Amino acid sequence: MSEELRPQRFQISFPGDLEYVSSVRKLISEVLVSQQYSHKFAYRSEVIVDEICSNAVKYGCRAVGASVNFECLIWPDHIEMLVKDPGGSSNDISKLRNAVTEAQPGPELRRVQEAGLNGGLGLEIVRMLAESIDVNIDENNITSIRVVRRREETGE
Amino acid sequence: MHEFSVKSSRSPEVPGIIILKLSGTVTTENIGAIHAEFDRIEQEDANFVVADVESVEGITSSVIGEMMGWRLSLAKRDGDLVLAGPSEPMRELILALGVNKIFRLFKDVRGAVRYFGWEYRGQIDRFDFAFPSALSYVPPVRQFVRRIARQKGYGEKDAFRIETIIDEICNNAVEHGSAIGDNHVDVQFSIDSRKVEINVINTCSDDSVETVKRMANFSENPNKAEDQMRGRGLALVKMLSSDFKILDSENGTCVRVTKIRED
Repeated sequence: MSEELRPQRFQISFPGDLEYVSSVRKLISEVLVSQQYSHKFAYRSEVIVDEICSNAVKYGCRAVGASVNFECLIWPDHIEMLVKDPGGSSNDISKLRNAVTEAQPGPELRRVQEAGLNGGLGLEIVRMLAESIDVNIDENNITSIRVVRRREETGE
Repeated sequence: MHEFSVKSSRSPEVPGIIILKLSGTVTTENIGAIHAEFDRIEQEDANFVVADVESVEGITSSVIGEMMGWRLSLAKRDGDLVLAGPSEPMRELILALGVNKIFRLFKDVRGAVRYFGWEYRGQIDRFDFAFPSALSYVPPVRQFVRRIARQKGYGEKDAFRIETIIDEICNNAVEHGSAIGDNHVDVQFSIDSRKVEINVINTCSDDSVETVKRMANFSENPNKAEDQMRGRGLALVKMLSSDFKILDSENGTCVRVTKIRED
């Protein structure tokens, strides 16, 4: 009987402070390299970690004591990253929804981007590097961003 | 270009901290207005000030010089003045003048407020990890912990010792943890300005719990150890720690280490 394939689960919860994001980014990169993903794949994943964790801290951690949960499921051919924060203001959440779900930014988001204000929350680069990106906000306002990245055949 | 403005308010979350918001281009002509705001802050007996400079478009070195004076005056009352949200050009100016040795810089106001809480008010920053029970995960975790210790101002020696402790007890947790099912290692790392506390928890069999306890006793009775090749790692951890305990928890075996900051 073949053994059921299960992902390796790596989790970290850290205080909602931008000061820690660069260290978390580095940590996830090192974890991926330790699990036989290439440096190139790890670096590109780092960029995603940086964007989604920075957003979680900036827009989702309103209280000084708030923390961010980051989970990475490591499969042989892809990874799934899930970031959860306690949730921001309704305005920030609707901006996040727009940034994630709109293939083309709507007039409001475009105006924000043009004005250089929180432009697209940096999610354009995430969208470019990831296979998929989803946002979910539960009844308690907990905001989750899930990003999937597939290992590429060449170079990765 | 926006007009200069200055306004102070209490942090909504930590009322003892004052947020001094500066906007526009700040020049020598504006020093009087900022000074007046500082006088008000002093009268309110507030010693911790975050200068929010995110909306500052330009600042002259004379203003930075004045701010150094205000910081000194706060420091004499056991307080501090830090800068939050400097733009890239402003950060470059600060680095060029070398005043980053005087002011701490933060990316945003919340980071600065958290710093005051951590540095002066006993706030504890906690990191929780859970990772599969495999040795390959230990180096990234131990390096992360070392980076955090350095980032929080712990000395190189302390950071190295904390890293060594994490490495040893995580390796033990992997080695003696159950290899069956969805086994993982939980690490809790808490850091404040005086000490760190580390809890490493793994699910393991009763035999393994006994083995870990026996290994820990090796450092106290090295000549009586049944297996003299084992337990040296935990002996080292005990030597480097201020407090060391092995606890049985409902989730498995917990090794708890406290390390007081030395440098």
